[in-house]
Amino acid sequence: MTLPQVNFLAILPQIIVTATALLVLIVDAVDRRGAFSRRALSWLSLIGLLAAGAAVVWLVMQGGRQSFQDMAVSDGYSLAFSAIILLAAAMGVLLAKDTVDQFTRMPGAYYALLLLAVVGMMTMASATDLIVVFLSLEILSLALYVLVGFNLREPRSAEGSLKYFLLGAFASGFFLYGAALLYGASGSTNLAQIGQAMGAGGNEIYLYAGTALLVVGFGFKVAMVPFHMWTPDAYQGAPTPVTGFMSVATKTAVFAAFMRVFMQALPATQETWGWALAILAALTMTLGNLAALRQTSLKRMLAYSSIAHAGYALVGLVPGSAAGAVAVLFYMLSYALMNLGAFAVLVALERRGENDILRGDMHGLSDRRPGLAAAMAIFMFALAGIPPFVGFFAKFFIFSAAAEAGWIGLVVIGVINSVISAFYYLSVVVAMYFRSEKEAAPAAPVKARKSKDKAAPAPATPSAPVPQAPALATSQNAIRLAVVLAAIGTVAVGLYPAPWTAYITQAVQSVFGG
Amino acid sequence: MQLFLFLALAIVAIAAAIGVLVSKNAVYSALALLVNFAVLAVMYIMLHAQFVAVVQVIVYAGAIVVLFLFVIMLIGTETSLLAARGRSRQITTIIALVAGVAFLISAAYVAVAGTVSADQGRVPGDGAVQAIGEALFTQYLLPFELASVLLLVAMIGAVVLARKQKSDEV
Amino acid sequence: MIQENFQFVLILAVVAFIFPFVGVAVAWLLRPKKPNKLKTTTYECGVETVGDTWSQFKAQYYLFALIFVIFDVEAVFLFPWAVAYNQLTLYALVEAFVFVGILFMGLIYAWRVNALEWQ
Repeated sequence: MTLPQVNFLAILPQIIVTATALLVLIVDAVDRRGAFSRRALSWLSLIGLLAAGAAVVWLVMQGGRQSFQDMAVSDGYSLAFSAIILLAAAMGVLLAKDTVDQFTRMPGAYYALLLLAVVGMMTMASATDLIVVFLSLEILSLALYVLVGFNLREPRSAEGSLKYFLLGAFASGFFLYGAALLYGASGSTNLAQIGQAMGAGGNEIYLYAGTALLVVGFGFKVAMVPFHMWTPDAYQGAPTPVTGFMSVATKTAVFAAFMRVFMQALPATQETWGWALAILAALTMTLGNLAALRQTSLKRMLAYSSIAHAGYALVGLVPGSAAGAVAVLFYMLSYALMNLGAFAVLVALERRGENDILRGDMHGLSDRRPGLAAAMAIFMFALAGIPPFVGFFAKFFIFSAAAEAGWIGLVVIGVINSVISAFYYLSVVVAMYFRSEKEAAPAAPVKARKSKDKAAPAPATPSAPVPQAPALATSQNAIRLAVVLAAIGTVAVGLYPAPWTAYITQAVQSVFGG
Repeated sequence: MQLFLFLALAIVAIAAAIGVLVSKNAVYSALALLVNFAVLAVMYIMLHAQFVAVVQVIVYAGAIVVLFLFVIMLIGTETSLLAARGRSRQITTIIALVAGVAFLISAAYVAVAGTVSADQGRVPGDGAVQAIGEALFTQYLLPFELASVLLLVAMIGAVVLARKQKSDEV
Repeated sequence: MIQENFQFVLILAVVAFIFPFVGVAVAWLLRPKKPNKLKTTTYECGVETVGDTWSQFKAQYYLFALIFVIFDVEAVFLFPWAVAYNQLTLYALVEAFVFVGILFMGLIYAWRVNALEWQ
C-alpha cells in the first residue's frame, strides 16, 4: 500500500474555514457567558474568512491547477467562485455582527454553521467528482436548513425551514439518483471520466434519465421554477442576514457545480439539456418577475426576484459554451454585490425584534436616512439592470452569450423580463424618494404583518420588544460597512468591468477551453 | 435457489413498502419500514455487499427507525393518523401513483435494455470490509473527511433546533 | 450464489425467530390452567396506567436519538479503518483522528451548551 498522493494546497481555503468554524465552536463553548466571546466570535469568523480569501488570492497568483486526488481541484474557475462565496459569507457575518443577538442566543452555532456552509459551497465549486458534489451539496443544505430556522421565536422561521428541509431532502434524493444512474452508465463518478465514457457512446437511457434527475437536484437549490416553492417562505422566514447570504452564496456554489458537471461530464447530451434548460429558464424568469410584482413584503419581493435572477443566470448555461460560463460567473459576482447590498439595507432598516420590511416602510426614506436610501436606489437600479451599474453588464454578457449561440427567442424573453422587473425595483425607489412618510401612515402600524397568504398573527414574544424603536438601538457600524462596500462594488465593477471579465474569461477558458 | 430466495425477499419487501403507505397508524408504518430495511439488508448480502448490509441493519434498521419513531411520538399519534381524504388528496394520490408506475416501468426497461454488465463498478475485494477501508483512506479521503463535516453540521443543527426556548436563559 | 458464511447467519436468524414461539408454546403446554379474575388483569402487580398510552414524547428524545445516529455513523465509518488498519499507513491514523476530532468538537459544544442535560 503506497502513501496516498495528497495535495492539501488544492483544498487550502476549505481547510482554513473548517478550522475557523471549529475554533468558533470551541471559543463559544469554553467562554459561554463571557462578553469576550460574544464580540470575538464575529471577528474570529471574519478573520478566518479573510485568511481563506488570502489563500484564494495566493492560489490564483500561483496559477495552474492543483488537484486533490481527482476529487476536487483548485483552478481559476473554482477559485473565482470561492472568492464570491467568501465575499457573501463575509457580508453575512458583518450583517449578523450587531443583530445576531436579536434572533438567537447561540451566536457560536450561527457563525459555525455559516462557516461550515461556506466549506460545503467552496468544495462544491471545486468538486470534480459526483460523490464530492453530493456531499458538499448536503453540507451546505443541512447548514442552511438550520440557519433558516435559527429564529426560534419566529414561527415563520420554523415554517420556512421545514418547507426548505422537506423539499430539499427530496431534491437531494433526485440528485443522488441521477448521480447513481450516471455512474451506472459510465462506471465512474469522476466528471472527466464520465465525459469520456459518454463521448464514446454510453448507455443513452441511463444518460438521459440521469441528466434529468440532476437538473431537478441542481434546479431545486438555485430555485428554478418548477422547484421554487420553498423560496419565498424560506427567504422571508430566515433571519435577514441569512437570507442575504444564502440567496447569493448558494446560487454561486450550485451554479459552479451545475456548469462543471453539465459541461464536463455531459457535453454529449448538450442539445437536449440545452433545450430543457432554455424552457426552464424562460419559465423561471417570467414566473419570478410576475410574482415579485405583487409582493408587499420586501423580503418576499427579493425572494421572487432571486428566482428571476436564477432564471437569467440559467440562460448563460443553456448554450453550454465557455462564453456562457464566463457570463454566469460574472453574473454571480454582480448578483452577490447588488443583492447582498439590498439585504444589508433591509437589515439596517429592520426594527428590533422584527424580521421583515414592508414596501410601505420605505416611504420617505430619503428624508430620514438619505445615505441608506441612495444605497438602496443603487442596488435597485443595478438589480433592474440599468446601465451604469454592474447588473447591466451581467445581463448583457448573459444575453450576448445566448444570442451568439443562436438562442434569440430566449434572449427576447429575457429582455422583456428585465423590463417587467424594472417595475417593482423602481417602485421601491419611487417609494423612497417621491412618497412622504405620511402617505404610509395607514401601513405604519406594522405589528399586524400580513403576507399574501398567511393571516396567522405572530404570537406575542416573551421579551416584548419595543415596537416602534427607531431602527436598531445598537451600533450599526458593521452594517453600514457592508452597505458601503456593496455599493462601492456595485458601482465600481459596473464602471470598470474589464479587469474582472478579463480574469474570469481566462479562468473559465483554462477549464473549459475556447 | 437464488432466484427463489430473491423472489421471496422481494415480495416481503414490496409488501412491507405498501404497508408503510397504507397503514393508518404512523407507528405501524415505521415498523413496516423496519421490515423493509431488514429485507433489503439480506438482498445486499446476496449482492456481495456485506458491509453495506451490516450498515443497513445498524444505521437504518437500528438508528433511523428509532429516530422516526421518536418523531412520530413527538408529533403525537392522533395528529399523525391520516386526515380525512378530500378530493384534492385523491387526485394527488392518483397523480403520484401514475408517476410512480411510469417510473417503475422505465426503470425496468432500463434494467432490461441496459448494456451495463453486473460486474461494472464492483468494489475490488468483493465488497469486503478491508477493501472498503483501503479505498476509503486512500482514494476517497476527501469524501470521508467531508462526511465528518456533514455529521458535525447535523449535530450543531440538532442542538440548535431541539433546544427549548425557555431553558435558553441560562 | 449466497456466500457460505451467511448461511449460518440465516440459520441463526431462523432459530432466533422461532425460539420465542417455542418458549411460549412449551409454557402453554406445561402450565396449570387455573385462571381467576386477578390473574387475568394486565398488571397483576404494579400500577394501572392512566390515560392514553400513545402520549406525546419530549423533543429531547429526538435530540438524543439524533446524536446517537451521528455517532452510530461515525462508528460505521471507523469500522473499515480498524479492519484495514494493517494495510494502511500511519497517514490513515492521522485521517481517522481528524475525522473523530471534528466530531469531538461538536460533542464538546453540545455538552457545553447543556444540550446533553435532561431538562
